[in-house]
Amino acid sequence: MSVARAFITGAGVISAAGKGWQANLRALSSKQTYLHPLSVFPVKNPPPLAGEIQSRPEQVGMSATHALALAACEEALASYSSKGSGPIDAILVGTTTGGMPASEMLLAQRVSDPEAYLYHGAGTVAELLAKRLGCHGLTLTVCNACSSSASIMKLGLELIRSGWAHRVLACGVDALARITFHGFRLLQLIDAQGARPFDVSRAGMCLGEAAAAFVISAGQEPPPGAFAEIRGGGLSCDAYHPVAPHPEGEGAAQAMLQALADAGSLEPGDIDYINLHGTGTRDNDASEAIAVNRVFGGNPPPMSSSKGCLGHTLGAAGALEAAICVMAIQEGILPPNWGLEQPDPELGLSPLLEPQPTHTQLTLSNSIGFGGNNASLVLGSPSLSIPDIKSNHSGWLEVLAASCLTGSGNIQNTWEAFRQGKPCLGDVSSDALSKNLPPRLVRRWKRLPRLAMALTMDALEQCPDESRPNAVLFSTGLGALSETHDFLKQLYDSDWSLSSPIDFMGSVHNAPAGHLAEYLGAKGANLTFSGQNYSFEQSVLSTWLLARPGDQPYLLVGADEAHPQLTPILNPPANRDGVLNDGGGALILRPTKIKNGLCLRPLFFKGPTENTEEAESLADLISTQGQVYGAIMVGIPANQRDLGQAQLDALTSILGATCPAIDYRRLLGDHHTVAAVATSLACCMVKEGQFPSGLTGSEAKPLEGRPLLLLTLGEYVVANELF
Amino acid sequence: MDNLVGELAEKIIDILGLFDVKLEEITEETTFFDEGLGIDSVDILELVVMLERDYGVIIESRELGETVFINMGTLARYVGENRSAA
Repeated sequence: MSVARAFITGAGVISAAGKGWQANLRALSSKQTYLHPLSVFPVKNPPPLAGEIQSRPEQVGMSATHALALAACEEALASYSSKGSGPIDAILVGTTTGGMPASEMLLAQRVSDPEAYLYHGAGTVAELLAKRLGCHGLTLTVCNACSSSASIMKLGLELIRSGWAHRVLACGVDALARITFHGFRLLQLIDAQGARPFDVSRAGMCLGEAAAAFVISAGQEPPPGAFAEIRGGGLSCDAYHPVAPHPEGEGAAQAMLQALADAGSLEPGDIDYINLHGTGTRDNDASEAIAVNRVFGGNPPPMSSSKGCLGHTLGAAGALEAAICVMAIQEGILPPNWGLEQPDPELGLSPLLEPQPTHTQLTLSNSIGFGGNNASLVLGSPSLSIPDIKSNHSGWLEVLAASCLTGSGNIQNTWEAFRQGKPCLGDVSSDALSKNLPPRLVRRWKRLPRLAMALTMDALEQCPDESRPNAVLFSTGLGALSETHDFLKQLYDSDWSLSSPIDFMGSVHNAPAGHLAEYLGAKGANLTFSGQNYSFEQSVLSTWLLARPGDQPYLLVGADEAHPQLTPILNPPANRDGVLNDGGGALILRPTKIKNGLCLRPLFFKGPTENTEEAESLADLISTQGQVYGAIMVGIPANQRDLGQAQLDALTSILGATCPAIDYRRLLGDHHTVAAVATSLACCMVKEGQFPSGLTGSEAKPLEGRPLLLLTLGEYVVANELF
Repeated sequence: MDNLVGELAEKIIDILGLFDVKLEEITEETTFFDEGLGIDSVDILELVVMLERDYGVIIESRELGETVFINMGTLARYVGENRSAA
């Protein structure tokens, strides 16, 4: 079957160049830069230049990030609704800091009311967009540092190709935040005079803020008025260093080659324009230059970086630069490499010094981020004919290994307690956390990366060497709280002057995923999801979207750490009766076309909802498929208990289900990624072939070869199946 | 000078978690990368922050850093010559 094509049918942008598509389009065709002295927060020395939005949209009660995302998405939807049809059925957000621009000041003021932090989590941006814009469907939030929003464009493409969604709203966003500014300052990466990418005198990056949003519509033919087509995407990881790019640009080259192949076997010579990542740091530009020259055989097409004009907008950069590519395709104008006066002869690249009118049909956009993450996108004119692409999504994810860590210990200990109906609450002991971890490897790591690595080590022990994963999908609701807390505390204590660059590096949500890739030598996709209580579920669906039969296995790790100061205010349910709760789970999954052994498959993901409608839709889907389950494991977040219970009741009454069910959060606790623990325990249950007596309260119930349904209910209704 | 090497070595082991390195093995000739302490450029930036916080010594360019972080001796000399009176 031919897959649907992904057309951009709506777009919205807000950046330092102004609010709206037209304002940003005008910026493309001039050499004017939009960098101004940073003024959104005070800094000690003369303020550096930054791509600051001069009249920021304000929204009461939420962070600047949320307000920027809303502005861009409203514009994208307005331009879409004039010619599109059908409601949005997926919202994808790429961001690095989410609500941190507000939280970092609340924390500085020692505000301890959890209500003040309701918009802290990165995943709250997508949830807010869904509620405000009336969109129902799935949400995915990717926190992949500077390649976040290029990554969501690739996931959006796969949602369309696979048929999981038909109209996707994808938004990259980041607002200027003190934590990122001081982090990059302490890493000595900021050039106060503004970025001069690829210039012989380049001396660093400058920060910016922006949101760029697209409506991506499925179709076999371009709908009238389509802006462009997302032709393909490539995701890779350097597996080299937490913050430095691979010196030979290995991962960046791989991402470009994959994007070209994904776009229908394009040749490098087909590309008319490259939007470079080009941050202006010595190492990034050198690495990217080698990669571009390698892919394009030393003869690349016209190219430019926009970071000397708009600043580096981090999580927004991939989407913002995709917007620049779309403008180039639509208007036939290629933007200059702002800030560049004398190209560095050692780089062997000649980016555009002036805007250049050029008929442009195919563009390539590069994003390169912390953790060695690379994402490249091919965007093309919607009128180009393309080769037929067949659906080759994997049907099944074979579970090769499963591990978990809880207050009860590893998977053996946790399963033993769980099957007897005993609580596995509390935090993971330092013994369990440190098991197997070489001291030199983990010397710079605090709690979350150690959790992730301990889970990985446990899973690897169950896997033969030839099944070593090559892709890492990590999920976390709140990220590395210890590093975040310590970095901010030192900044507060020194009046925003000094703090640990190592803590900053570790505070980035995708830092643990980068460590795992480096340890494994995993050079495939490396993605970090942060979608509140649904983070792990987002990683399962995304694995299914990216996986192809024959791929090397995928490592999924979901983990959240308990932090004595931050957990009680950022996720109060994980502090049940004053006992902090943390842990996580890991799976090693091999994509297969045919069901083989123990297999996991995503079934349903919809929300946000305040009633039982989505649960009823899920019940209808299950009924239509005629599936009968041996048991149900359901996770209902503590703060959505009434809603979740009503949804479960509705579901079971429609299904007439007589199979046993366990509300696992009562036993396993309420950290955001507890579904990862539950999924690993579900593997134990299926292997044992029965729903244990300790959970039924009477005798064990045989599963009789039937699959197990894994549910997460509440604001979103998510279902995975374990066969 | 020797005291300063020892004092800095103790701080470096603690801050960078180099618990596999024995304090008494660190001398003026001990280098920072590869066969020396085996640390990387991010560790050096961590030490730059420590030098400013604990000694009032500011190293704000890569060029200066390259002359200071040759080995423990060059580091101790630079700190000794530039530390603030406090």
